[in-house]
Amino acid sequence: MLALVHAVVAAGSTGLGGAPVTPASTSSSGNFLVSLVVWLPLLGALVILALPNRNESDHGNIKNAALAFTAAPLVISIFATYSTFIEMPAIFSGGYKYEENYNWVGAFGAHYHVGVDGISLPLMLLSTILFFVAVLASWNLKVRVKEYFFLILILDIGVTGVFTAMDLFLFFIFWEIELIPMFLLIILWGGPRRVYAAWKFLLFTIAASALLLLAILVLYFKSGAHTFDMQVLAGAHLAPEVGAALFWLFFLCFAIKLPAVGFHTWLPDAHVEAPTAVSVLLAGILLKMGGYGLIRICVGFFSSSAKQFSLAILTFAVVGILWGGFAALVQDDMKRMVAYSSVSHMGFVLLGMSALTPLALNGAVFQLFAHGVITGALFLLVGLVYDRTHTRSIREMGGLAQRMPYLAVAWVVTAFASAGLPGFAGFIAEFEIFLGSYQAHHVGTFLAVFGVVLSAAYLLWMLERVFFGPLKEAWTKLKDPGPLELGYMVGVLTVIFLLGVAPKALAQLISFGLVPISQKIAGG
Amino acid sequence: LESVNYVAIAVSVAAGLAGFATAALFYWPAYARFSAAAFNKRFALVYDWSHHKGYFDEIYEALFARGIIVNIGRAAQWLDTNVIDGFVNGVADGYLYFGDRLRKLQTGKVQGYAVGLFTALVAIAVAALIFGSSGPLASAAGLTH
Repeated sequence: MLALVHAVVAAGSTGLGGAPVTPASTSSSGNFLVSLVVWLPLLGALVILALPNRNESDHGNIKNAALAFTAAPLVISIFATYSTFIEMPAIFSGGYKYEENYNWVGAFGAHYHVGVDGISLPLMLLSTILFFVAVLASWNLKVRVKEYFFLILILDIGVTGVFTAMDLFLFFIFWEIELIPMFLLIILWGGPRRVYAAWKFLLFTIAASALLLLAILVLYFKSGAHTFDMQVLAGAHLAPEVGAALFWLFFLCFAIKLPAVGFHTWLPDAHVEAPTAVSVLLAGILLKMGGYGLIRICVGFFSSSAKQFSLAILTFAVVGILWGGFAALVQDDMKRMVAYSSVSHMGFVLLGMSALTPLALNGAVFQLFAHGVITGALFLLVGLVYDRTHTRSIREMGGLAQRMPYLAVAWVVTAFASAGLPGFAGFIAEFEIFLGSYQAHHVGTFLAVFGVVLSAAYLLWMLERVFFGPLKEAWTKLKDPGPLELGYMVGVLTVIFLLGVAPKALAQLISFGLVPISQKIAGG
Repeated sequence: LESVNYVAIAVSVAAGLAGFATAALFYWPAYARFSAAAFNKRFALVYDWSHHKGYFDEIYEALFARGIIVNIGRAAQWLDTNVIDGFVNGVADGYLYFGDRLRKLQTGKVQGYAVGLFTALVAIAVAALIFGSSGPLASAAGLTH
């Protein structure tokens, strides 16, 4: 294993941009940690299928199984991240870890090739954290319990698979696996307009998938390598106009998922109708698949096109940041407000991507993680309020802090984190992005900073109207959430806080992952 | 360094003392000559204006917070529901509409299908005659063999 890492580092430092594993090789380092993280949820799903589903205690067993099969990947992810942290920078300083490479469909050169680098390891950790929390947040579910947790676990496979796949064919399969469980989770457990929202989500996402498939096919044939190996494809030499066309095909696909402004209207609808835990997963991880694709493929494969179209992406970024922020300001539904804030905050990822400086890209990946936990927390909190008030209308609430002081504290802290206050993860990410993008785009960065002011405005205004002021008659009997809810909130907030005060290890890990991409940007 | 401007010092100290004296005439029990309540009633406009800090917060709120900022937000929301979603829903409605029209083509009447088949055949034959390699277009271009 160590020899492999050294070999990868050596290859990376010679300027090749990652270690080109020859497509024909079927070697494996003998590690299977990543496969465990990806496939343990499948085992869990099968266990849940086999469990009886007759009464309360059966439901308890199903929930415990779901918890166990999301806890195990979480523990493995934490172990993988921790052991990488302590190896940095002496032993691990770039390249992939826990790599597995098996010949899969030899006829067209598809491999089962997974592994994690500095970009995908944090996102794998994020996924495992949020799936574990999502199971806890669904603990009070009473309808169709078995199907629900089965689908959550299948969704888990798709998402962690996308982040860890090193073969584009495998990447596409995982990308598709995610689709159906999400559609079913919204349409079966959703709110009143769930059918419209679920179909809208499905159609937008399938359009994105079609573009992705087309792009992968064109890349496969035009690269001349006849391989799906992502490291090889990243180094493929393409004609500039082919590169540009592929850049935009991939960009459109990932921009729908992110979502970038103009492709974002599926998001507020899906969020409003989805149950709490599904919203957490949707905003916390599924959007990050778009951000991951933008950085890994659009920037990583087509860096010269990314440079060429930097201003177009900047426009998407700035318009999205401001559009999302302004729209969030006028929402009455708390979930819609948080959904629009996601559009705004994902704009920062695009901003980092458009700047293409190492610092801005580092901030963009950091933002993927930070926004994942922070917005996950915001949706959990919206859910906790809704469970008690049975409304999400900001106008109807008021003075809730008098009855639910603990929930109010959690809300205020998370809102501060989302508004990018120092001491929380979001601040580090946004600061890195601004610092890195100012070098490339003065005016764009200046306009984007206004988005931070807008986040403070809509979050604080919402807090004021929901938690403070006179207590309304209807809410005099509300009670604070119990130990389970406060427990997972404290857990998530701890992650947000730790990354805010001690961001160095994560930022360094991400920078190792970005080395091949930055070399490619600098080189051509 | 500039020299000390004694006039400025004198004016500002005098203004401060005048304010102090005015306040004393209203509120210092030993020197009070006027009633603040009566004064406020007499000069209600001035009182209201100063009481609300020149209505600065209200102007600010109306102009910026509720005026410009919130209205930009409403505009973004309106564009979302009408333009972007209008396009998205329009595409969906279009598919439904044409699908519905298309559905009615399948009547189950074999004669209907036969007419369609025959029309298509004629159309293809005509197209082949006109655009084919021995048709008028080809001969006009001098491509006939």
